[in-house]
Amino acid sequence: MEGNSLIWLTLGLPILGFLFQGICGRFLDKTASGKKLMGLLAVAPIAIAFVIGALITKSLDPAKAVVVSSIPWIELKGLSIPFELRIDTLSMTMVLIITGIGALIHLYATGYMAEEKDYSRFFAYLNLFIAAMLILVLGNNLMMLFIGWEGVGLCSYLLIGFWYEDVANAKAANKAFIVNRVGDWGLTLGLLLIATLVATSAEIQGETRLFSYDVVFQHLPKILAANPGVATAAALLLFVGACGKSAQFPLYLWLPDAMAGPTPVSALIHAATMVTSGVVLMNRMSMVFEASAVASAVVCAVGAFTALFAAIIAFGQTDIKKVLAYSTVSQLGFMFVACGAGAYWVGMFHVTTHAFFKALLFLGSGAVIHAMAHEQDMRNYGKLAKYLPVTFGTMMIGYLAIAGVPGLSGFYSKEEVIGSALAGNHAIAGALEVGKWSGWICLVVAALTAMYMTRMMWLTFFGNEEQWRKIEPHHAAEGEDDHGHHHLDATHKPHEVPFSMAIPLVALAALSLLGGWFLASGGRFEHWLMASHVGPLTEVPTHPEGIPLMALSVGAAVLGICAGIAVYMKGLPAKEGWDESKWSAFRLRARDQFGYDSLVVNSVTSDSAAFSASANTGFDHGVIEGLGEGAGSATSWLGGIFNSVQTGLVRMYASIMLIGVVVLVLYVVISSGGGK
Amino acid sequence: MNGVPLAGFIGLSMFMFITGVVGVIIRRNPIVIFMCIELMLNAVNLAFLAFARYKFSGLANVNQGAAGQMMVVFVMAVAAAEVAVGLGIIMAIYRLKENIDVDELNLLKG
Amino acid sequence: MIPTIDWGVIGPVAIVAVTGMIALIVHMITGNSEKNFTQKVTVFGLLIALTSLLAAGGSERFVLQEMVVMDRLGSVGQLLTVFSALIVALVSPAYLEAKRIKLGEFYPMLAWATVGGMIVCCTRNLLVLFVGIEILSISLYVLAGLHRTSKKSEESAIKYFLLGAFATGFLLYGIAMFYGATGSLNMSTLVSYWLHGAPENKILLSLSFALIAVGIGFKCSLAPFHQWTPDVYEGAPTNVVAFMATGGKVGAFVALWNFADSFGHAGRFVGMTIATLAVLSMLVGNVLAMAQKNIKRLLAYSSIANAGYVAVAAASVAIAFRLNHIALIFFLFGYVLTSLGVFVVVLAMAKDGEEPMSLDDLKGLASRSPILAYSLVVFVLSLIGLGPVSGFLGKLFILKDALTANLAWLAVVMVLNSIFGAFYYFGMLRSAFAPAEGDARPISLSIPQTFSLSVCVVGVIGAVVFYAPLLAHLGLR
Repeated sequence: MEGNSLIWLTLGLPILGFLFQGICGRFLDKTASGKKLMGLLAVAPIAIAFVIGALITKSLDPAKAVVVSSIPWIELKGLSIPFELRIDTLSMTMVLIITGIGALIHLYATGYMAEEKDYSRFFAYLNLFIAAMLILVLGNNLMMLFIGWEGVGLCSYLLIGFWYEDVANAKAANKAFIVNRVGDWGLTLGLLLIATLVATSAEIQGETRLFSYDVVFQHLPKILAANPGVATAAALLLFVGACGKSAQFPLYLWLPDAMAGPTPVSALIHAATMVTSGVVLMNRMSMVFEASAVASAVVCAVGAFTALFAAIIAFGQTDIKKVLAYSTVSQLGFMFVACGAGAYWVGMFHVTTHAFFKALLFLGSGAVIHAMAHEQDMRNYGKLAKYLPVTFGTMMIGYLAIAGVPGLSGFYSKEEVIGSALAGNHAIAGALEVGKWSGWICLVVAALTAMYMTRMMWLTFFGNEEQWRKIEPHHAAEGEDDHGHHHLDATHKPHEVPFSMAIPLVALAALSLLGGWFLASGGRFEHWLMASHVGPLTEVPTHPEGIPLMALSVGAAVLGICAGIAVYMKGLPAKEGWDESKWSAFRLRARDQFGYDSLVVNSVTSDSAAFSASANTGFDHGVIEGLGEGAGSATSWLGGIFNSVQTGLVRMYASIMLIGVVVLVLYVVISSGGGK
Repeated sequence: MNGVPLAGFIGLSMFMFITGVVGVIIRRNPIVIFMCIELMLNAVNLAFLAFARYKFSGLANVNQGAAGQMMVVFVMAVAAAEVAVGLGIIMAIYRLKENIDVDELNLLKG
Repeated sequence: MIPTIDWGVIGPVAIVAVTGMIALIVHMITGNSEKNFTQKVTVFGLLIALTSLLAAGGSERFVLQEMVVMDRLGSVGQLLTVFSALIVALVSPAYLEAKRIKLGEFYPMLAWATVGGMIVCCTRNLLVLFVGIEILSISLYVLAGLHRTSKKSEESAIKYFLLGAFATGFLLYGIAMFYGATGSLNMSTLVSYWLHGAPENKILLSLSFALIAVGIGFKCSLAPFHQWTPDVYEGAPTNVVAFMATGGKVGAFVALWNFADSFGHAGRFVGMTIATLAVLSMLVGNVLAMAQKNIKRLLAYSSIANAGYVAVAAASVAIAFRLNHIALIFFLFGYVLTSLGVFVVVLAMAKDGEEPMSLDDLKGLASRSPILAYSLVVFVLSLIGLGPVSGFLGKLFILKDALTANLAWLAVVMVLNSIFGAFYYFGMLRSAFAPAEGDARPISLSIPQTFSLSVCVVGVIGAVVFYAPLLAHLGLR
């Protein structure tokens, strides 16, 4: 298996690309031809990395995971953490998604960002992101996963805040970072717990690579089987980490705001790759979740709730990217339901197909935004199909795929998510069959998904008038994402995307159209991915008996689409229009995420007046208010106590020191046994 | 000196030390505060010398006894250095504010 | 009976001390000349000391009748102390000029403060420890009041001085108790006296532990002996604070570790006491830092929290003896380079007698000087403890030590606390990347500033990337 060392090249090329863009970029990207060169040099490493990845995948024996030789890194007594890569079906699946879709999106970005002045900075970050993401999926130990995890978080932060001169963008970037810290806390503790468990296992003799997967996988199942409580704790801690990165309730907050970044970033990081790392983590550590039915039930419940919650919120959004953002949160919920139900491979399957169609939809929305002078509000669109034929055609395929129309990629994976959840033989908490309930919720969400995506498509491409013709100049000035482009007004003429942006659209459309069928036929993906799971797995059928799954899921899709068409056929209904006083109370609440976002943000910034106001409009009076207020006031109470003694008076400080001395002396004399 | 037991010296030393500590807390003039700190240091010196004289005297313990006496010399030297620096700082404050009450020095807080 | 002197061990200390004297003489001869000979002499002397420290290496040694213990921790501590003094000496001329503080005495005082810090790093003898702490402290009292016309600077000096002298009183009384019990001033002798001594000796020794902990805790700014820290950091000139927070702290941290290592034999209560101080410090530092708008106060609370992390390491070593130095060495390495880096950024922003005081003053940094802003990103990541920069590894190793010592609860408190860190450290980045308000002129960096900044950035990142060879060079593998 000499060829496997080539994997270092896959990892090294994006790093080289990053270094080159970062160091030489700023000297070259001043001219148009220089930008072309930089663009080429940004796309090429990723494309080559993809080709290498594909070659390695081709020669890979699914049954055997290969650990590529390691470079020593941290060597302590009793602990060594080398740089080592793991080639198995799970990591290679992700490598192909990251580099393949990554290369397409890089190509798209060369066109999308052509007028950007910080061209090379953008691509430097993007290449760095690819490298960090590859470290995350390829690393053969938990510490490399952690470094990749933080690395992609950093890149995400930098790219959300790419246009940092806008306060909103900078705020969104900070929010993403800080919310993710909560998740990272769970991940850190989870990883440490697992390493500690492995370290204290009596069987380990002379093995120091306590974080490496091969060692962990070998010893962990027995340890977890012996301590079910610890298994639940480890699974829940890892799940907190997964929740943060994969934007699940209650930590999803950052993802909708993250759409402030450039659209290719939204497509690559916040739809196709980074946000799925939570699912990757659960696949990688499947044995931990497998050992705890309770934790699996929590995963299922949170996934289902997030899917439903985000789908409802999507109806209240008028910004095209916000709709897609909430649909991403919702689809991630589907993946979590699958993982919670014990069908880990189904989760990855949905990751894969979702990467195809969601990247496509985001890139398509980017094309629309590009064509509409950076206006993102769908209420200004309408009848764009005739101006943007390529965008329309490709987005249509993406739309049908996410809606779950039979034959397209989304259909296959979504059906299996629902099926595996309905089979319901893993996620069980007590007597409650959480898995089954989640399955039914997912079925409802599938119909809702079809409906709000229809809404988005209809408002954008169909309808009976070109809404932007009505814009008055003062109207255009507000709420606009202006980066030196001309404003949208009645005279605007949408223009189709350039060639470089059309290629990725078409390629992704082809994948969305055929990818699902190709991977699903003959259980190809299932057999391929199941090989990477170590340890005993509960058998989870994806087509439970006695339930006409096919008919149900097709029915949900058709119902959603028809309902959407019926409502939006005649253009934008007045009760969803510009005048928000005509909106129904429920839709207004949905737009504001039912007060959840402002509740959390305010309680964290401990602005008590605004906090209590938003708590009153919030959706869950009792629980959240109690918790949030408790935490907020505890912090400010503590701060108040500490601060009230920081008076600036020397004698006060000396008195506090003296109190400290007296307490210390008493404590020490008593606890040392007073000389006995 | 023979009539006084070790406990007497240590008791006196503790009394001096606590007097110094209380003085630091209750006085407002930095010069007096510093005098109280000097009192604390002298209490330390007394304790060292009492220990050296009573517990570690005689030829058998010459190194141990010397250690305590040496320490006293160092404490006195350091105290002298502190006086020099401390009075300098107090002078500088007096030049700026014409007032050295420590309770009125609270520009820095929070 | 004159002991033979191993100059390889005390040579660097002597070099720095003599450098201070020469610098003072040079200053008396040349005055505040344009060419700033005083600074050049100091930098030169510190460079020689740094080189001799790097060249020394070698094995553990006890010299001068065990008054000096030259172990790995000590030599790395000395190295970091001299390094911070060197960086501060390099970036100070521009700052002193910007703030219009015309006092060349800064450099000799800086050198002597360094001497104090170096002495503290490599001893377990309480007499030497006391002398080292005093040399360090008295120099810092003077330096804090360096800005003679600023009321804040003078106020910080008197606060530091009075409280510092107060703490010294407790430290000395603790040493007296130790002497009374053992007749020795060497902390390493504790074991035999604790095991075989009379009961009243145990009381004396427990008392001495509590009182010495107060003295060392004050220098480390462990809560509840921390209150001078924010006030002094805010009032003192920033270049002085830069040294206080790095070189001045290294010695105290190493002393805390040695102290915990020696006294740990007395029983579990030693470790638990230090762990309690650690929890208090992390809590006080992080909670109060969140409310801060003033950069220097924020950094002060951050250093209190970091003292808490060091105390976690100390508590671990007090409970599980014979832990390796590596955790502390790595933490100190990251802490010193990162804090120095942040201070260099703040110092570089000083202009026309003004310097950034509140977080809002950082606004527009990204457009005024991208180099400063992006270096700040690296430092903030390291402060938060994100991978892969050195702050992360240091914390990780300390966590591992805490787990080895069966202090899992302490490890959890520490992880929770380092999340708080993200909130306030991030305030700095948020401001740095916000649009400029007021002064939007580009900031030009002098060569020494650029050099210092790049050394810190490279060190912070390189410490992780070149982790293995670095440790091999230090002889820790």
